[in-house]
Amino acid sequence: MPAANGSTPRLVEPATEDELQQHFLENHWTDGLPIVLPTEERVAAMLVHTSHSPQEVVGKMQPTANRGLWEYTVEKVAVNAVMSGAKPEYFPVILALAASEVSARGSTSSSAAAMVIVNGPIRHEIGMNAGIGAMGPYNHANATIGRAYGLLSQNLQGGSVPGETFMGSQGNNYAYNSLTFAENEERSPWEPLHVQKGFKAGDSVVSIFYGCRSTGFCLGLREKHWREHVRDMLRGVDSNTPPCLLLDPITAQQFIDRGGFTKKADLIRWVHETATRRAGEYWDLQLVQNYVYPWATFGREPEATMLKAPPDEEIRIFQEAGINVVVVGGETNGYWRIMGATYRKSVSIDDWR
Amino acid sequence: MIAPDRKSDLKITVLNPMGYPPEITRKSAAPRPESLEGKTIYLVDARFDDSIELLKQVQAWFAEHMSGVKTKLVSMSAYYGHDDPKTWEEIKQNGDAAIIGVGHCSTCAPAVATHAITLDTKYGVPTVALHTEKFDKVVKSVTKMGGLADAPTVYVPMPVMGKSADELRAYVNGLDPITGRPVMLEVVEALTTQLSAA
Repeated sequence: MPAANGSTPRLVEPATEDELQQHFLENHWTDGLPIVLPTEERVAAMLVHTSHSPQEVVGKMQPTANRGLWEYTVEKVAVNAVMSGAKPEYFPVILALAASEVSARGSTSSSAAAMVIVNGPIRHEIGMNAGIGAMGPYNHANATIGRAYGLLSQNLQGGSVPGETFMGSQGNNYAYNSLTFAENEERSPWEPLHVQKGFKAGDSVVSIFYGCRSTGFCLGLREKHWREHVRDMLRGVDSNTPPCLLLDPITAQQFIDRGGFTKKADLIRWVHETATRRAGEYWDLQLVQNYVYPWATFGREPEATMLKAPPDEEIRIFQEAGINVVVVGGETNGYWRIMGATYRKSVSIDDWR
Repeated sequence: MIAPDRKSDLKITVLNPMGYPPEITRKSAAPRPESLEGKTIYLVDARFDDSIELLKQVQAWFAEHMSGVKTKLVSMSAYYGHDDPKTWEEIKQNGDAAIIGVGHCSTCAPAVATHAITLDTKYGVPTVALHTEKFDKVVKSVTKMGGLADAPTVYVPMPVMGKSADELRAYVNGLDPITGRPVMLEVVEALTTQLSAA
């Protein structure tokens, strides 16, 4: 692909390190934390880990629809990768995230964050964590790849400045590193996420979810009322964002023991059938009024049929195709979560090596 | 005493992390009528939160203060984020001007601004967009990128959601919090004053 236009200067005016840290901060080029300054040498070291030309266009991004798509090259992604503190060997993962064209810094006033899940051999090659503390700040690759995704999003889309290009009313702390972790494929009783999305088990793939506003939390599945407990959790997810079950391997096994879900698809079907709400209450939710009801009146299915239900009829909140299940955690206990998160895209990491 | 860090005096060169902005194609707004008397104005509900409730108060204002103006309140066909050629075509065929709103979220404000530009520049319908004041910078950024930096825009206070009819009437009868000028004076001016050529 041709190189992008040269409307943004390649270099920043020379200055001392302290001055540059301040310059980057004042220009809203950081996440508020100190960054690794992207010198020519550091950027060049990052570029060694891809076969793609520095001037190749990777994609386009914008903070919200209708704002205008900004374009970026491999070198521009490398600059942001350096800033995050990522090691050069992580670069293909970061390039794949950039190639998704899904911004981790969407401007939605609902304060969304991205969630990034890595599958395949790259997890071990770069030492990602899928076990104890995988979703926390305990692994360099998890931490910096996620941070790089946020930084590249805000800078390559033309900014994420509160009041202008970021309007999240409350903000979202998950956005610091976009909840980046590896799936615990080895301890999962089911096929991994990327295989579900059409890739081979031996492919290295990064998948992006978006939302992460509502989080449900539980310990295990009790024999007598586990169905009702999970139903209550599902009703706590924002109704226009499908659930992604984040299961410790212990809980994944419990779903098989309690419910007989030897196939992940069976569990997803059960979640779809279990997550219900009375129609009158469902349609009265403001999020549903804003984002689902207009489509129902437009005639789109299944929303149009759902709209015909009497107010007291239980209707299904989430469409089956939108529900996901991921196994993560180190089996220190059977704690698990439901994240309200919409699946956006899976991108081959191997294509960016 | 701490020894000075000698490296801190050294000037270094680093790379700029920003992407490349899109090229802007400038557009021209539709000609405005000298007066709205006898004209039909479409009030277009973007269907986010209680947009329609505010537009009902705009409609009531015209009935009370400019009874020679006909108004028609319509809702967009579906979700505000999608273009709505069917509605725009109806307005072009049957209307003389349009008021669209309300832009009061991070995605609907850009959408409302974009729909207003579409109506004005593609369908030739003089249009003004109503937004809440929180989104003024968002709107300015979008109209600039959309090629009509001076797209007519009027602001009301935030929030609109959950406000009573009396409260929304006060918004409509009150002042634009960005400019300090009467909201409806700005609306009428926006639909009757020619925009300078791009």
